Amino acid sequence: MILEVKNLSTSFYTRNGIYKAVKNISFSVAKGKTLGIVGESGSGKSVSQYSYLGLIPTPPGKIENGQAMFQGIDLLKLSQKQLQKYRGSKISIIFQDPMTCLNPYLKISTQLIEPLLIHKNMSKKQALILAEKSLEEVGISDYKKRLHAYPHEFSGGMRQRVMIAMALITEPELLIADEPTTALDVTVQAQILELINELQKKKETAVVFITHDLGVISNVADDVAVMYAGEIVEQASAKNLFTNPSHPYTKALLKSIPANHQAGEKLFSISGLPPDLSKEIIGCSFTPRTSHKTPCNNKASWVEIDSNHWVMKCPQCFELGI
Amino acid sequence: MSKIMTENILVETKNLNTHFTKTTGIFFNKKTQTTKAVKDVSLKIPKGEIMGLVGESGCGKSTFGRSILKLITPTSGDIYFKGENITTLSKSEMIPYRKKMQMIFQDPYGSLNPRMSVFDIISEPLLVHNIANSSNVNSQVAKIMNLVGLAKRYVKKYPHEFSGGQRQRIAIARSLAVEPEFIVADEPVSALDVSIQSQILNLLLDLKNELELTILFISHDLSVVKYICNNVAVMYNGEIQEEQKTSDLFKNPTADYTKKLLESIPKISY
Amino acid sequence: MSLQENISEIAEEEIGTSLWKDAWIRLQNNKMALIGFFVLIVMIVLAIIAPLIAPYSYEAQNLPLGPTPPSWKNWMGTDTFGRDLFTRVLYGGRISLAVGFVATAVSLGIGIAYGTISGFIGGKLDSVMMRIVDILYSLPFILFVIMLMVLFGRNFYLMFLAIGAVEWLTMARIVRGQVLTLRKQEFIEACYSLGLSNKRIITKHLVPNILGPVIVYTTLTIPSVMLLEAFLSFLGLGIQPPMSSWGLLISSGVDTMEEFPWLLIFPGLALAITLFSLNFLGDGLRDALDPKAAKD
Repeated sequence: MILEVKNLSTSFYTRNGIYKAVKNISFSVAKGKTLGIVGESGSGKSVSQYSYLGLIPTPPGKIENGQAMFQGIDLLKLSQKQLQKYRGSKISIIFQDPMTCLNPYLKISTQLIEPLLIHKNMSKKQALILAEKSLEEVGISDYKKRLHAYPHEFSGGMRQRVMIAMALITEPELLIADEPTTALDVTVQAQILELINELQKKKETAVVFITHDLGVISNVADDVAVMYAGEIVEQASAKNLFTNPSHPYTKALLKSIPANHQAGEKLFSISGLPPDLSKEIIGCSFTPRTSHKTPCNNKASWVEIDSNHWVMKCPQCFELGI
Repeated sequence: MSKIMTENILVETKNLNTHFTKTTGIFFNKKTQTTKAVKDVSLKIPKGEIMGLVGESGCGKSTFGRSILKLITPTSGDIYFKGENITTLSKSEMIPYRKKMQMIFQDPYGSLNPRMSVFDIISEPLLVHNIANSSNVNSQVAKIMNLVGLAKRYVKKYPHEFSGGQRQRIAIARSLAVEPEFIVADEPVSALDVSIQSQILNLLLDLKNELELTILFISHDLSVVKYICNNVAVMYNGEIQEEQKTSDLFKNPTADYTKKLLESIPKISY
Repeated sequence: MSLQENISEIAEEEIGTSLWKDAWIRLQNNKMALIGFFVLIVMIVLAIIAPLIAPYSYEAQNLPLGPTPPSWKNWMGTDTFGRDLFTRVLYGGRISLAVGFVATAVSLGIGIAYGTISGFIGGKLDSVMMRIVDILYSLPFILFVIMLMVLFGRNFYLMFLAIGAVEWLTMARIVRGQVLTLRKQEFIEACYSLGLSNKRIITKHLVPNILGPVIVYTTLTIPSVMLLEAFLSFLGLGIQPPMSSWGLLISSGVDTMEEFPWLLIFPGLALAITLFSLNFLGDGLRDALDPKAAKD
């Protein structure tokens, strides 16, 4: 296991209350494997990863407790300065919007070699050679010339490729991809997903892939964690999750996809709204939105229903088959 | 090439072109760049149906949608509403047509005036167009809110107090206030979560049936289009690549670009 | 039945928090801004009721007395003509604050109108209007004021005109910038699709949304206008004795800085405190009115 996170909880202290964005989650990623984190907005999927990377502004955020073991070191115990040595070299991140992630005033070359100069202590000349190679690897044609271009001269898909090149140039062991294809067209998305898969196989990078798109997850992830209201409600291999979903939220999500309906048939939609994260949630967080209107007041816990397939349910809901 | 029924066409464009020109340089070095966003598009939108317009970003579908409503002035070509040519109508002559043709935008955050309450937003078109007066505007607003599934008690709240899905409902309510016959929906669910998407899509289907609306559904999401649209037109680089009944398009795409699009959709298959 | 009565009939309505209300709540959490706000209110009230509370008349001279340091009789001391400084500072505040607010109001009025029309209509009209602004900007201000003085004589109201005539330029630019950004927003496009008139779009949709930065800029313009007035008076181009403003008081105080320091310190303090309050308030307003932060 490259990364093992245990009992991570992160809250935000605002004047409207304390928002428990992430509640007691545990997950792990193995070398060369992809963990998909699926959830909708407000589920805590991004916060869950930013927490151990030191990217949560504190205040108003606060890591309440937890452990994030990476190569034998607990990342949550490190200071910002210490974490800086990890970010960009051993752990890299790709963000959602390729339009705003690159500095418009600097050439691509400058931005690409930056992590090498800082983390690997290379000379500019050596770094530039590597930068050229990395652009070639991500499939940018005419890379020798384009290395010295500016971000605005690239399209959205190309920029995301540059971002990937930048993230992988230091050969990190862990790559966090936060909705990297959400802002891209579907044809470009297909290319980027293929690229990430290819590079992962080549470099054996562990990948955490955050998205709300179930179709994308099924194409990239080996294992999946489904998040709802700050908790991981189901965790399984991608195959098991899609063929045998157990948690009502997972089932509801799969049911909502238009592709799973006949044309004209009423779309299944989840009633109600996600719970207010500043209020204490008693019992199973999703049950109030299922067809079983009886509120659940029991404590939910992990139930293993298959090899490496875990569901967060309380005994009562489990009995009722909710 | 169109296999769509040609009787009862509500909206039609003939050879519609929308070009944008940019002049750079000064004095004698002037360079004119022309971007042809919409190239010679002739499309027939049948009454009472949802027509999909699919394409990737930058293909011109949004520009086309806005051109039909004359929110962007087309460069050449004709637009017909119920057989009447509205292309060269002046701003005041367009007003009765504006009531019949509305738009729903993609961004639920930018499409509502943040300083106006729900009541203000929905009542404005009612009062400006004399559809309601001060004595019955309240009940009208309540009726419309009910139609789009917004709880009455939210009537005095402001956009930033709502979620994305609810804001989209407010935007839909606003466009329904003028009792339109035709709606251009420009990526109305693209910015929403999957579970909310289904709610809004259901809403649009219900409204179409109840109010006999005709909708031009612009989207890049083929699976949504497959579900909700009767007919689909595929757009690439400002031009229509092909146009078919939805079920036919997905089974037998004729254009290469359509085939490429269909192949790119991530499928769940185990 | 009126609209208002109708609305209150609907039972169980949830109270909406408009962005203004939200901003007010956030402003209240900002201590420095609140202090600035209250100090400003105090200064304004003092200026308004000056005739009621001033212990002496502002022009009553007492030549034999001459300049005296602060005492129980004269809280801020007296000046070279034996006039009570406290009284003169109070009355001076009336002038300085009046000029500050009125000139700013004038520049606001012209600036908003000009900038909105220029930004909204766009195209050639916008280019022409902005070139005019550019040209006026480059005119040397002092020459302009002197020219006005020559044409119309030394007139107190002329100063309002001169200052307003300069400040509206920046206001117009800021407003135009805001309008240009707003015009691209989809809710403005929605206004067009709803067939709303240009007048309605400008007044009901554009202007309320540009007020945020405009308000902030206004609170920061007032101090600059007051300083401008002080500068003009310092040069002898503004207020004429025996009337006084903080600027004049400061300028005469500078002359006798070493022997009678209180003549400089008190009016200087009055001006500085007011400027600080306005600046803190302006800063607080800028943070409070930021609509993006309202989403938290």
